[in-house]
Amino acid sequence: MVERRPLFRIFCHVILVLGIVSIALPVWVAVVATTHENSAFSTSTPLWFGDLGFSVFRDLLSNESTFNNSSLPITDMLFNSMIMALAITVGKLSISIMSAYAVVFFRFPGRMLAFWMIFFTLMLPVEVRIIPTFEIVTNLNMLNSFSGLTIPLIASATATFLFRQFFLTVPRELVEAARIDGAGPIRFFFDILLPLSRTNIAALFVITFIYGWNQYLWPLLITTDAQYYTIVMGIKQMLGVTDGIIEWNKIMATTIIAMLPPVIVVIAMQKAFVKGLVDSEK
Amino acid sequence: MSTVTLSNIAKAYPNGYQAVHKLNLDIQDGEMVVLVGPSGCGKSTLLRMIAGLEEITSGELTIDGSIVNHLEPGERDIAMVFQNYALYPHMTIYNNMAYGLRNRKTPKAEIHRLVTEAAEMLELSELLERKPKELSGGQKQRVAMGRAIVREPKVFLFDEPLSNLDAKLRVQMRLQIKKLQRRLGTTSIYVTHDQVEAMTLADKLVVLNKGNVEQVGRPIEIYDRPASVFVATFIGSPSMNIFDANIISQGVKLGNLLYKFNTQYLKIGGVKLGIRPEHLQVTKTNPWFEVEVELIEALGADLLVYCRTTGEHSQNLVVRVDGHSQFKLGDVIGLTTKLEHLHLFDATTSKRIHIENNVQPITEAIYA
Repeated sequence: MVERRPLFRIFCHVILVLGIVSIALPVWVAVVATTHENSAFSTSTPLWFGDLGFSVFRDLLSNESTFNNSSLPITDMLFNSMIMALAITVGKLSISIMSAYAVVFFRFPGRMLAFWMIFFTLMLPVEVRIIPTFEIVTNLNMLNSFSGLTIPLIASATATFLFRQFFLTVPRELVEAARIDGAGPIRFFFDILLPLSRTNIAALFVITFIYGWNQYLWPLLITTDAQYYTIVMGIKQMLGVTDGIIEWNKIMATTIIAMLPPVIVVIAMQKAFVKGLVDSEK
Repeated sequence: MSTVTLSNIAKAYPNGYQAVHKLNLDIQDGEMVVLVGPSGCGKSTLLRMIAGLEEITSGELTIDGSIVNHLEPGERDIAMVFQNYALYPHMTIYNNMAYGLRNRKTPKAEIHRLVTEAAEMLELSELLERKPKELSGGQKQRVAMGRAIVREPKVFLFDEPLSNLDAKLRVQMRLQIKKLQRRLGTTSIYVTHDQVEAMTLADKLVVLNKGNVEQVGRPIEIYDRPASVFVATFIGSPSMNIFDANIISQGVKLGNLLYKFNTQYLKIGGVKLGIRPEHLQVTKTNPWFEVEVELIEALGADLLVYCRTTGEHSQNLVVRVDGHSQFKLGDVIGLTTKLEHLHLFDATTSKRIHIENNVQPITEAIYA
């Protein structure tokens, strides 16, 4: 139902503006905080820019200074986060697209069993299976390594399920036309199925990248070596100061830096992302 | 150039459903064979078995003398045109046509030559760089045919290729397919449920029913001498009128009517009598039977008159008459026909009773 009464429109806009303000305010505070001396935070929370400009960012990034009890420069933490997020994303997408391909296009004994087993893991979030997973990773000697950080998070029922749903909509005739054109299963996968899944892959890439980037609990559990700290963990550790002052301006600057890669990914893939969620080209 | 032979081909699904019963069919080199039948008759299954998309449960399929039962579709040297075109949506028209050739490692220059030739033949040259979604239905179907032609296959398979097109386009494409097939001389198997398509395209028509072949022959043979009640009612539109009648010693008795002729070669007893709507004539003098008009459909050139015979044992029938005849609902009209237009079928097996050579002309029809 589309209402066209002016009062109703004003009401709608007020609601929207309130929503935007409540979402944007924390970001605004964080941005503003980076431009103040640390002493400014002892009395109140500043809501307008201070006079430091970009110098806090420059300090953080240029001289690779470590501060508080974080022992790793944030550029290194960014690098770790990037590796982790990308490895999880690429791994997740390739594993799930292949398992969906197997489940949808091939008839083999135990096919439905395999599908339902994948599907059931949907119901168990990382937090629930974290202890057994941790034990396995320990036994495999993967603590404090990138493989330990990424591999356990790669298996994904959600992505498999989404790809399965998409593959089910691919017309049977297309598969048959390809078979008559002499394309085997591998050719069909790369020449036809992958190009058709383009938008779905983009949408899942965005979602999975953010998921991987924002991982907190898992890296916290399995890394004790500062060399493998990710930026999301790093922010938390900056707060854990026992004696001394919490350097809010640097923490806020780090937060903003940590926010940037997911934002860039979303903006870059926005068009394909929306298309992948809304419609499919057939 | 090639022949296709089906011997004892059968298809049973794991759930026990028998889609095609032991079926034999010989397809000559360059022949256009049309498989026709109602939905569920097994015609598509049969085509898909020939294509290699469905497994053959038993029997042998040979193309050019060699058994191909266990070859992949890509290895059988066939090409198929699908009902919904099945073009690769992300590829240009050129690539759609070239894809099969590339998979067969055809040299690039050769691919280019074949695709441009086919595109010219099908008037697609302007569209080669477009994507399928920018094309109309008719153009898409031409691309699908182009994709089949460039392969220069031994056999073309068509799976109801015109069903998704509107009526006018369907007629155009039908003619184009026929011309193309003549020109290329490629053995073709064409599946349809549309009997007009079947009649016009076929060199050899195969009528299927419930997984069995009902009749094989030239279209006009099948129209003139249908082998069973099923074929008689399936081929021809509107359907042939079928009446329950009796053969008695003097002739055939239909309701209160007796068509007198020599029945010495026929079995006495129940029989089914068929007359095509176009073979009934309205007559004022000496009608064979009288009917009451119940409904009239004007088709322009023709008029379809739905009637009911008068008297007890009344039966429904259709008559096709000239489009400008004047009838009113409720009119009682007299009908007549010629002996050669009568078809007799066995009442129990529904098979044709061949009377053509051993029956003398009807001497008279009387009320009995």
